[in-house]
Parts: sequence; C-alpha cells; structure tokens
Amino acid sequence: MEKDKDLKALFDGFEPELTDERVFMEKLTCKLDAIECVKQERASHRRTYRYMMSIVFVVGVMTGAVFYALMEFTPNYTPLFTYDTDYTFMSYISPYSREIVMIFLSFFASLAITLISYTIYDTYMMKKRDVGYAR
Amino acid sequence: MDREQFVAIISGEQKKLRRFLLALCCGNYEQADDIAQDTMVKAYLSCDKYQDRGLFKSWLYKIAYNTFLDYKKTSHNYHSLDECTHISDSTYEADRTFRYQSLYDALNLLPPKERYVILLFYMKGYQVKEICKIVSCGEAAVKKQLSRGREHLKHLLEYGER
Repeated sequence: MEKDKDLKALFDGFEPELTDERVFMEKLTCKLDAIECVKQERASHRRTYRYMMSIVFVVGVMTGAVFYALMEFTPNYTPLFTYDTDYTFMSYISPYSREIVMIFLSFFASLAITLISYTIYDTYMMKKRDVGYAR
Repeated sequence: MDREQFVAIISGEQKKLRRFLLALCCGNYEQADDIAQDTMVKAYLSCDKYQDRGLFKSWLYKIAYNTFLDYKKTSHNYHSLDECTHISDSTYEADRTFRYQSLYDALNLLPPKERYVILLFYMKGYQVKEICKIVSCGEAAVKKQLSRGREHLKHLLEYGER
C-alpha cells in the first residue's frame, strides 16, 4: 500500500518533548520491584504447598500403618458396617469393609493432622512477620 | 528473558513507544505515560512466555494496542488541568508544546482503531501484514481503515489549517 507523502513527512518530523525519562524509568522500576516481590511471595507459597503435600503423604502413610495395625488387633468376626440390601455393589464391598474404613480414617486423620500443623505454622509465621513489621 | 534483558530492551524502546502513545492519546501526556507504564508491566509479566523471534517490538505494540483499548473503555473523556503543569512559562517552550496541537486535534477526531492503524503505518513504518498481526484484523479491514483514516486525517488537517 502506497504511503501518502504529506502524512509521511508530517509523522517523520513528529518529535514532541516527552516527560522526564528518569522519572518514567524510576516509576517503572518501582513497579517491576513490586512484581518481583509478588513473584517471590508466590514462589514461596508454592514451595510451602509442595512441602505440605509431602508432609500429607508421609503422615498419610504413617496413619495408614497405625490403622492397619489397629485393624489387625480387632476381632475378625466383627463387621465394621452392615446393611440390609440386595444391591450388588454393596454386597461386593461388604467383605472389604475394614479396608474401606481404614482408608477413609487414614485419609481424614492425615488431613486433619496436616491442616492443624499448617494452621499452627501459619499463625507462628504471621506473628513473626508482625514483629518484623513493627520494628 | 530475565529482568536485565527486559530493562535493556525497554530502555531503548521506551522513548519511541511513549512518543507513539502520545500521538495516539492526542497529546495527553498523563494518559500516554500511564498506558506506556501499563504496557511495560504487562510485557514484563508475560515476558517468560515470549519466544524470541526478533518480534519484540511488534509484540510490545500489540500489548500497547490492547492496553489502549482497555483504557478507552474504562476512562472518562475529560482532560485534567494537571496535563498543563508540564507547560513551561517560556513562550518558546509553550510554542514547542503546542506545535503539534493541530495534529492532535485531527487525530482526536479519528476513531481509536483507525488512529492506531494510521500511526502504525505512518509513524512506525509497519507494513499492512504486520499491522494485521498487531491489531488481530484481516488485511482487507486494515487496508480499509488505512485508506479511510488517511482521507479523514488529510481532510481534518486541511480543514484545521484554514
């Protein structure tokens, strides 16, 4: 597409004064610093999250082991849950009632332990941060 | 791209971008600088995703275009008196500041998209195909905007001179 000569000449000579470059770059640097700060905070959260997940896994395995041991010591003839139905799925899972209960209990116990420890840790860190800000 | 590389590229490009945005904002320094800052912040936030194919400038102008359109949607059409604070008392400085007033007035009467396309073509020297990528429009639409904008702008400038 052809360029209009008059308009081209007009825009070629367009060199207006700008606001102070130093002030502009300082403002931009401040914003970039703030972004970096948020990025670091996010990375730290991600690290904590990964750390928490590994703790959940370990606690889950340990709780599972504890519940398995408990299950081994309970009498075999005691059913953990029963139901009066002919539904195929229910009759299929019935012999595994102990394992199912164990899995659920392990899951909830590990979740509860982890959440409680995380809340304690977070509260401790918050207190530490508050002390830091106050200085 | 890390921060040092980004700042190095931006330092070289910021003047041109600000000048471009000043024309786009029809001489509104405050708005042009705000859009320039937002553009650079957005570019920095997504520079990890940017694949270096030597198209950084057009990528930056694409972000500037979207930021400008967002700004247009949200901002009110009034001019703050603060804009005049940069104007010096010296007659020479004032003359320099108002040197492009007729151009700004004419650009102000163009629709924002048409204005952007015209500026990319005449001020930045982009070809039609490159403009299509920046504004995410078809070639026919860009050509139409360019020819309509050119006629419109020429008419406005001639009318303004009379």
